[in-house]
Amino acid sequence: MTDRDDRGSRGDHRGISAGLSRMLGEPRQAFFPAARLEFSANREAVIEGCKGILEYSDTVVRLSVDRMVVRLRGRDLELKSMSSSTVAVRGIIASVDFTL
Amino acid sequence: MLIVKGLRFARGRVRFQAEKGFLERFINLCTAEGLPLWDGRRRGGVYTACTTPAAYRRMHRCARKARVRLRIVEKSGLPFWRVRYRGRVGLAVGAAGFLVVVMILNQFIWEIRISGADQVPEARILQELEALGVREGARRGSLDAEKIQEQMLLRMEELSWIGVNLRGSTAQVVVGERVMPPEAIDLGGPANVVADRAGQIRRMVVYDGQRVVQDGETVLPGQVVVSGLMEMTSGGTLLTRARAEVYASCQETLEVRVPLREKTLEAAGVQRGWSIGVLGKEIHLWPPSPPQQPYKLEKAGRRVNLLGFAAPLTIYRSNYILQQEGVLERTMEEAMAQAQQDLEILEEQLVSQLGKGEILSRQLEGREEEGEYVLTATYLVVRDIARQEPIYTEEEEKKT
Repeated sequence: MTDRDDRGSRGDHRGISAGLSRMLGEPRQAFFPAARLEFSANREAVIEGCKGILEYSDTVVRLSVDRMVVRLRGRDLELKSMSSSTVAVRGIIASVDFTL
Repeated sequence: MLIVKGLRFARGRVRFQAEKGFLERFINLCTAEGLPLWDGRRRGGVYTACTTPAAYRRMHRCARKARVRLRIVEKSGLPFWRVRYRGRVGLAVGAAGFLVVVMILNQFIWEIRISGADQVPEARILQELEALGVREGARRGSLDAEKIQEQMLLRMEELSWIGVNLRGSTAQVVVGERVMPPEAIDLGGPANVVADRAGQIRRMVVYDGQRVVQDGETVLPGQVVVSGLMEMTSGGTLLTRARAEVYASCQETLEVRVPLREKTLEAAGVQRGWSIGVLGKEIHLWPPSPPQQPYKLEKAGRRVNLLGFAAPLTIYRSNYILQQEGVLERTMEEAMAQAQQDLEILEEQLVSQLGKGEILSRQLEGREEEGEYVLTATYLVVRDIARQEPIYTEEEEKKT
């Protein structure tokens, strides 16, 4: 997707961030950070930028992240810690799906 | 991780169970309210997690909205511990007292560690440090490490450098020993080599000067053997500092006396004692006071170590070897045997004094004199009898 396609799409911030990015030579994520996922093998995942939990069980965890939904599947999944925007999931993670 | 656990313990922890209703909505409402949640797990329709006591009290509103039922499973941490033991004032006082004592004791030096000393005895270094105030029980604030370092270098010329580091209740002393230079040859004024004692010259090694006696000649004490006044082939004279080794055979006498009857102190039992050293002072536990009769004391101390750290506490064990007066009577044969043993010791010392010399012969004579057995040994030895004697010129004699 090019910058030209981004412009005018939902939210002015995308156009502003694209403009600032071009001007200053910094990546767009520097101005409006996107969600970040960090994995420790398949045993632990830290998701930043999480907006809420959509589904939680010991085999599935679905999270609303940025403009997509992240689904973690596995077993013995636990929410190690939670804050307003960060979730740490612990357990045996078998797969990760992204749904836009 | 330990810090996180410590903080959670300090704030307190409530483990709760949430069931029925909309659990995901409940979790989202809690996080939106800023209520911390950790160790969350779901088994079937039951969600278990931990939170702080303050957060749990606010959680009921979220539970009502999400139609979830809450139940406490476990409570732990400092707030609950404080409530449980609020009647036990002694615990708090004891803990506070312990901290105060540790803080006070940390202001004193309890251990002195010395490293780097090979030739110089550690006991000597400790003795000098003690004279400068660095001792067990000294207050750390009263010690100036830099001044101590300067003073130690002045007091001990065997050291080339010293570092004193006061860390906690330990004084770490690192020393560097000086490599002593070889003895310098005295390049003073002109001198003769004279005989230190009477003897017959056996051999001479002349380094400087002109020899005036030959091998085989007998010399008297003070007689010039090597002259510092040398005659030049050109006709003039030269004053020099004569140096030589002059080996002559001479007589040495050693005498040993052994009483035939003497008073002795004999061991008459052992009494054990214990004491502890605290804050540099020794407190006698047993016996309360030393024995009345004569005694010989043997004492050993052991410092108490706590988890690898030296504590300011030393345990001493004392053995009071009680003595009683007795009389030792020797037969003549016993006295002779004792005298022989004593003479052997003196002879070893004589041999070490002779250096490159040697003992040629020995004559022994024993006699009884005033209740003692006297053993006299006369030796014919070869030893260095050279001694330098300055030559004073007329001008120097006028000055003196």
